[in-house]
Amino acid sequence: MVDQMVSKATRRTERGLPVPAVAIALLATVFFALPLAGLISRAPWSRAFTILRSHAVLESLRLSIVCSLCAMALSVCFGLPLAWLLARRRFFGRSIVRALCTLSMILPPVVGGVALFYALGRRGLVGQWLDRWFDIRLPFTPAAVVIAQTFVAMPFFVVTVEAAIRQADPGYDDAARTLGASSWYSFRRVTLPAIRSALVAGAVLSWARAFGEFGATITFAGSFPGKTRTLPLSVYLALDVDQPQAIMIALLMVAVSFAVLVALRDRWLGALDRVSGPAT
Amino acid sequence: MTLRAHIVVPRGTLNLDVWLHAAPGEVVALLGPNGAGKTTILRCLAGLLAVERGSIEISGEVVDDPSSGVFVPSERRSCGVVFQDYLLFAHMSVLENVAFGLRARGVDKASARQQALEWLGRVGTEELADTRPTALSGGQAQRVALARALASEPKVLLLDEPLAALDVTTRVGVRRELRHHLVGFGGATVVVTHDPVDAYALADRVVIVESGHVVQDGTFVEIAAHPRSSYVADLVGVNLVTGSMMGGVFAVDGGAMLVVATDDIDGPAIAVIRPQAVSLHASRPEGSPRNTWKAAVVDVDLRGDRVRVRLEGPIPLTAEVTSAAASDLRIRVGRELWAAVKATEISVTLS
Repeated sequence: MVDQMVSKATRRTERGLPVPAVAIALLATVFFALPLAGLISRAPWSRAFTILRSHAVLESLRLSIVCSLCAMALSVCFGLPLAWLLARRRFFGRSIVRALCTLSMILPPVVGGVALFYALGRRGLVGQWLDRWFDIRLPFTPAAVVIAQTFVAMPFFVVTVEAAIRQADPGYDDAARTLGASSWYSFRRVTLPAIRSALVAGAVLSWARAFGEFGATITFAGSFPGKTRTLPLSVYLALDVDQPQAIMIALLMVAVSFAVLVALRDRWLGALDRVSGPAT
Repeated sequence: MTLRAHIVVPRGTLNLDVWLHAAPGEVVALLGPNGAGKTTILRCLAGLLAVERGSIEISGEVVDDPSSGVFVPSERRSCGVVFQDYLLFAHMSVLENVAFGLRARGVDKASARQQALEWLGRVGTEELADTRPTALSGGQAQRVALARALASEPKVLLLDEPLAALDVTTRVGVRRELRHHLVGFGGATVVVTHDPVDAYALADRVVIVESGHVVQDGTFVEIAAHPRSSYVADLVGVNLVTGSMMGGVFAVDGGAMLVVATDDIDGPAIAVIRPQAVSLHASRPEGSPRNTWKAAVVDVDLRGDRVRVRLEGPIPLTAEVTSAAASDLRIRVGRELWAAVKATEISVTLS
């Protein structure tokens, strides 16, 4: 009886679907599909294998994967305590801290790269001391790539996880504490499992952002083959000298990103819109 | 295992200021309407909230005292808590839930599970050990929550509306069982409830809380007999008669019989009769009321335009009549009257 009513209601809403909305949504989908089709149509399929197996491309791919995974790991390690603090603790200036930590999401990445340079560069605010005391020079190294990527990617993790912690019922934390759990034990055994899907979603989003990072990388880390030239940088440089190569590398990036998003979509990224507490 | 507390917490418009004590093995019910501050008291006792002034002492150890700067946090306080919606961890099995407190305190996995299994057995839910909490019924979840709270062998047990989340049919059975477990617990117990029947059935002593203050404290029978304010009278001033249901008739402990409108239950039960439902007559009434008996007035209490009349007889109870009716009937201590209660005015609940 109830099922019947529900399906009836569903049918009714489906029948009422407005045609203009569907048409516009379709147009939006085409808008996203078209550039992809453009790439594919111009791809040099006969040379594809040679290009993708070339030393330069493989080196770029390896660097991109390693750096983006490192950036993701750093985003999780530093972003998780940050997200927890922002979600669960009230302190003076919390909204300022939150704005500061998510600023790089909307900042042009090139600006971020320049800012990093003046902070961590050889004559930068902190960089000069790193150079003088520890003989560490960050710019134009793979470490700089990871730093640039983390700078733009971590906010995606923080925002996702903070929302999840905020929505998880703090009552479970109370229950754990009355059972003798320290706040660390409770965080590990109660809070973290409850926000598991948001953790994965946030990590994937931050990885994806790091994998595609261009502006901050090229300003702070430069473009040295094998050291700092990641896939997006290779695409940009190839556009001037070897367009077919640029297209092939671009398609490689599309394939990797698309595969990850599709594989994780329903299981984990779906959690973004239904972040749930531990019990229902 | 004694609990002693003076809790002062200003919360918005509510100024909570209560004194509370519970002896080892004693069950104290905090009874009051929603918003009276009962849950806040419980959170202070559990260490989830600090008192602004006052102090809390468990087994002689001061656990919260702002004047000397002492505050023992929840995790080191040894208070078992059964929360209103139980708050079982959904990503763990029932067994892992019950073992949680032991694991948190550093007991190794194997013996924590062994002890948890024993506690599940004690509350009769052993077969649910591998179940997820989301698959439990309300009654089962309550028993698991109780086992989880008791498993770390707390000195004090706190229960927040332990029966509120249950439907009427499971409530009776779970209440009887809960009483059994509370009697078996050696420490002090505090139960928060807004239901006088729960307070009567579960607690040795009742503390009535009204907008942040204790307005009366005593056994349920004492309070019901001598409510100190009309607020308390309305809250607990119902007549609760213990007896048992047999073949559609309620046999009162002591011999008398009550005709009731319920006939589908059997066994030990409580009959609930509102004082307003008891009518008084100068001579034996004839008519629809099925229950009539002769009673002597032992106490008269004037409250505004209403009079509460305590009666002694085969079934001692309190009647409430208007002051006009009271003067017509010339009600005074020692006067003999006829009391009548319609069968449909008596609600019976299994005890």
